[in-house]
Amino acid sequence: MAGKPRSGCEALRVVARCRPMSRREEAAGYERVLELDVKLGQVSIRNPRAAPGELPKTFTFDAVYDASSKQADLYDETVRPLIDSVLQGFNGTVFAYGQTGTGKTYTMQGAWAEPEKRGIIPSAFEHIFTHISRSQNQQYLVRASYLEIYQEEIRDLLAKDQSKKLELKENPETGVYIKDLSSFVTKNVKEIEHVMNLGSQTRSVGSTNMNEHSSRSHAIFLITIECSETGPDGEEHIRVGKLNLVDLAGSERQSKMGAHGERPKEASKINLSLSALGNVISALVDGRSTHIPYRDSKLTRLLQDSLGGNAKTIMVATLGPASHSYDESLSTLRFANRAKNIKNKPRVNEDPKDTLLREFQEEIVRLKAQLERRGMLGKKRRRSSRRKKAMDGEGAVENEGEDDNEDGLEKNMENYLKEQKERLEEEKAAIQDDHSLVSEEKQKLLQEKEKMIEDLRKEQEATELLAIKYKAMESKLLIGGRTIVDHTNEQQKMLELKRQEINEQKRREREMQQEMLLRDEETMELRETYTSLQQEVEIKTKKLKKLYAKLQAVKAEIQDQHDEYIRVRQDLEEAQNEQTRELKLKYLIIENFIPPEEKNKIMNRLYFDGDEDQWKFQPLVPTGGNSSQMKRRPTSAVGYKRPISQYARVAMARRAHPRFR
Amino acid sequence: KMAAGGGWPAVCGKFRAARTLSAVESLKDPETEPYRSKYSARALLQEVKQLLSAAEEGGEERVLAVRQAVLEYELGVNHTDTEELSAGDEHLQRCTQLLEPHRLSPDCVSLYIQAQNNLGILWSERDDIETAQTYLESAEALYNQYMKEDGNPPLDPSEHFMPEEEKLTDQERSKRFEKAYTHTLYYLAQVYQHLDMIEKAAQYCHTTLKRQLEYCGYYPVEWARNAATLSQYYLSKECFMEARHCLAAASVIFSQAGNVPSAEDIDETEQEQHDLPERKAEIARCWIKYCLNLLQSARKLLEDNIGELDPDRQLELKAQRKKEEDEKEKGRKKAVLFGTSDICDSVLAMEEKVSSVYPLDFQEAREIFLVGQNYVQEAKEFFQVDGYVTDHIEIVQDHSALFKVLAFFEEDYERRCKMHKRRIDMLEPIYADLNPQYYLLICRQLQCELADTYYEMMDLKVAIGNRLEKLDSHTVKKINSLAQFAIKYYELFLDSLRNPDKVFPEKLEEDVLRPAMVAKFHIARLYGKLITSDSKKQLENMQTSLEYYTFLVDYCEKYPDAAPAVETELELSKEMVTLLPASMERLRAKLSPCV
Repeated sequence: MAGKPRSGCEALRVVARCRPMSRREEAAGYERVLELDVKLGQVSIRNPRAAPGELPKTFTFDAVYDASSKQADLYDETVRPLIDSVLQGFNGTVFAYGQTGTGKTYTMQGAWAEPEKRGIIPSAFEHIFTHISRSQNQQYLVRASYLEIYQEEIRDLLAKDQSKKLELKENPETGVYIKDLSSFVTKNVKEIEHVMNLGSQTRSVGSTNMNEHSSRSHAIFLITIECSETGPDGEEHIRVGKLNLVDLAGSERQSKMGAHGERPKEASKINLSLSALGNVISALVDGRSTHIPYRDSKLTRLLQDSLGGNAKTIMVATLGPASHSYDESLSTLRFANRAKNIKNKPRVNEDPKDTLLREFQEEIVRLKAQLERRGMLGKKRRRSSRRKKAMDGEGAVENEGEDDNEDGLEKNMENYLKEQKERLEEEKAAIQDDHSLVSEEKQKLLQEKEKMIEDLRKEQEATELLAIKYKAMESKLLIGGRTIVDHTNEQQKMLELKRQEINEQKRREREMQQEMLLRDEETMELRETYTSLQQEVEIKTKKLKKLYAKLQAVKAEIQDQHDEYIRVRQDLEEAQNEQTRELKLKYLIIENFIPPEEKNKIMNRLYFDGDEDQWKFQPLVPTGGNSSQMKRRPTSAVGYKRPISQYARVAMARRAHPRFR
Repeated sequence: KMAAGGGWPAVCGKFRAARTLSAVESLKDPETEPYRSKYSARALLQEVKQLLSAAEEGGEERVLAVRQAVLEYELGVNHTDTEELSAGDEHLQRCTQLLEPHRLSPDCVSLYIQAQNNLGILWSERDDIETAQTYLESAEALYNQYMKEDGNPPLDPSEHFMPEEEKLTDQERSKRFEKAYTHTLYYLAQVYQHLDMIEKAAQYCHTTLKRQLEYCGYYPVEWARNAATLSQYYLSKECFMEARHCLAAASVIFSQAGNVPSAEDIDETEQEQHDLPERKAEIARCWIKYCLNLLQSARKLLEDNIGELDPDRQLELKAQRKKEEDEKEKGRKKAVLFGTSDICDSVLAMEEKVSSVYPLDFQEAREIFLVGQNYVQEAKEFFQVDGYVTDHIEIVQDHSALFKVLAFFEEDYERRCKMHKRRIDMLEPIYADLNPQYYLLICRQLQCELADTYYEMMDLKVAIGNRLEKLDSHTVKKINSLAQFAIKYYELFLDSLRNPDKVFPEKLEEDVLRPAMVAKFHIARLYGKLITSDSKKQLENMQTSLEYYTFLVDYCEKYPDAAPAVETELELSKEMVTLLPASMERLRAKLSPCV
């Protein structure tokens, strides 16, 4: 309900969470380097190796949670609105990012047994099914899948056969999906928790080295919520929300494995194993007009909708407060800060074609029809059974109990079958009693009746089966209000609403405070009416301090820039000296070895090609024109048509000899 | 000679135990104690070191020094592995100091090179890539010097702690030595990559691949994939001969996969078998890009300023080619050739199937086109729409691009038109199947490409029509319908830019700026080209055309930084905005007396 997208675009929500100092860290005497300002949503990190004057770096997020924060705070303030959106048919993703041992798994899963310490995943389960139980006139179908990506391979944690590797596929209509991923329809919190536990078990059993494994693999718990509701147009609309709950591998691993996905620029490490040669080569290729046969990482492809696509996304950056994890914490913060810029365009997924809910509904309708045809549903019972009779070709009028009460299929069915059976038995008896019939005929009729009884039994069985299937199908569809009798519904709903309002309020407050801080300086002037000199001094001092801190920050920035600048300048100077030397050498060569007229000729032909950024020669023969524009042959001697020898000239001058004309 | 601790065999045993601990056991260490085995290995190595120095008096000085160097090397690597870089640095430095005088002798050279490799790695860990470069380059130089002066298979470092009877064969020695050097080259490739010396990095990658082939240290499928990737680097540098060589080698080596068991152990044979069709299709895609790039580069050479084939250039290039043909071939080849003779023969046979010189006329272009088209079919066999939407469409787009560039070489307008029609026929059905919610970017690309193709076809029809004495109604109809289709797809593209509330964005994002402006511009032109006998209709079309031109001009006025992206279009639009009203006025004037 909260955080509606204003223009269809919505930034990734990023929150930071810091765990308390561990006992070991305290014992080892590590300093705290992280300071969190919950009200302002700011984290500042101090470099333990920094010079005394250096100011801590500050990052601002949508919210921050310090060591004293409860699981419920994070859930109610940040995650709850997202889950609400998923229930409305948006796609949602929550992922935890951070170094191993900063509490990713605690944040996502928490301790199941203690309600206080439950993480996002169990709270989301609770939330989803409570919402459904309180809804009205809506049908829900909740499915869960659980998978893991380890070394670029996808494993289905719910499948029986663990050796099978799943493939990422694409469909023109529905985008990226995982082929053959099993999913379980769940009806309540218990069932979905069971699914979760099942997957977690396989995850730990499937690998020989659990710790190594878990910190290297990404786990994704996927919940699909389909909801059908009759819209104002009288037609049924189905909305599908998908929720990805992602427990990423430790961030330090990602940088160490570095090769997947984006290539971190700052890492200049050498990869030791020759098996990474492919990564080295592909890093050389410029991707525009070429094909690089290395697929982008599975995780990125799977979550592409969550990162800049059709989804609402929350990222929880988890941090450790102690000084020894300064570098990792800083890189986590930087990453989180960059993630704030990702813009998503969430949209409600309305009436997609391939919903399971629709399939189920259709299946139920089909089964219902089948049952009805068998005459098992109260209302139509008479007509259909009559039709049956007519088919059987018996005109006998049977008496039927006019019980139209539909208190259950079984009862109807039983009644009907009993009646039929009784009637048949009766008829059988009648035939046996009827002495007027010939014994042969009698036998035949009896057999016929036997057969009919047999058929009836079969029908009965089939119907039972159908009924069971029908029941099973229908029970999978969750309908609010009916499934769970909840007397305190209304009150709880109100309570929740209020809580939400409070949270929303809190968030707004934080935003406003962040804004306020920005405007503080401007407003200062307006408040400058002082009651006493002392107060004035006080306020001015405060202001001075603030400005001084700011000055210090700016100075540090300037120093950084200056250093950078000097470095660049030195580089340039060096390059210039180098070039000057080169140039002088070239000049020397030209002066001493190339005749000036040759030099001039060459100079005249040189021109600069801006496209290729280099000097080029004009061709000796101008191109562009056709070959007829070849330079004319130079005339040989003055006044003559062709080259002419001395002798010929003399001969010509002497007499008009035709040969020399 | 070795007095203390049970003599020489015990020392060797300890040394070997340390190596196993560090190489095998350490893989199983728990997360909480990641370096447990490494630390035990270190302790063992220290013990060995003490035993050695205790026995100092007895031994020969030279032998002792080398053994100490081996230990320093192992300790250095151990410290580097456990993230104690400065200690590692010290040990490795001591190792090289000890070896310095003997570094060119067969019992030291391998160790010296490996020590320098590890120093290179160590300095890269410290983000000092230049220092790493010096170590690795000196290792490279040492290898070359040794091979020139001696060349016999040198001892492997581990042999210094082996009993005589276990010493390695010459073959094994050579293999290990060459492997160490291959790693030197491979690390250098990475160093150059980090230093942005891309060309050198590529050259070293190439050599690494070559050596993998020579010393049988490769998985065929992976090798083929790497070679194919390297070919793409050469493509981007327009080195088509090298690119072709890489691709041909990739295809040849790939065909070995599954037939010849390679020297390295393969655990995931099954998985690899499963991936074979995909890898094959990937290589086919690299071939497609080769054909496409070759054709497109040739086109760039041959086209004149309006994008048509320039016959003078053609003649000139043909003459030039004749002259250069022989010299060039020999010059470059020996540096890059892959493989031993039998592989080399199959690679050369493979190479002959497609040219690596720029095609200069339709016939030559067509041959390359056909090769490319074959690979398109091959790639499509695996990358089918259902399951591989993005890949499939990329292949189809390449196919379309092949047709487009082939059309450039075709002189006959009718046939050229047919080629564009083929493009439409392959793009349109795919576009229709796509859900824009998930494939927005691809949809936009297809819209633009379809629109451009219709636009080109219309231009061709107009050109054909102009040759006729008089436009017949059939041609007019054709031109108009083509123009309408082009407009339709441009409009679809522009619609896709609207936000969910169907409003066209005030300011265009940078990545769509040029396409959107060009679309507007082309629509304006298309409205101008529509042929109608009805003057009123014509006036309407001119009005619409004017509106689109005006949009372009206004937008660039409002956001001046957009102007450079559409320079020529803007210039023309400005002109049209001034001209069109006048001709509309004329038309109106003509129209009114009739009414």
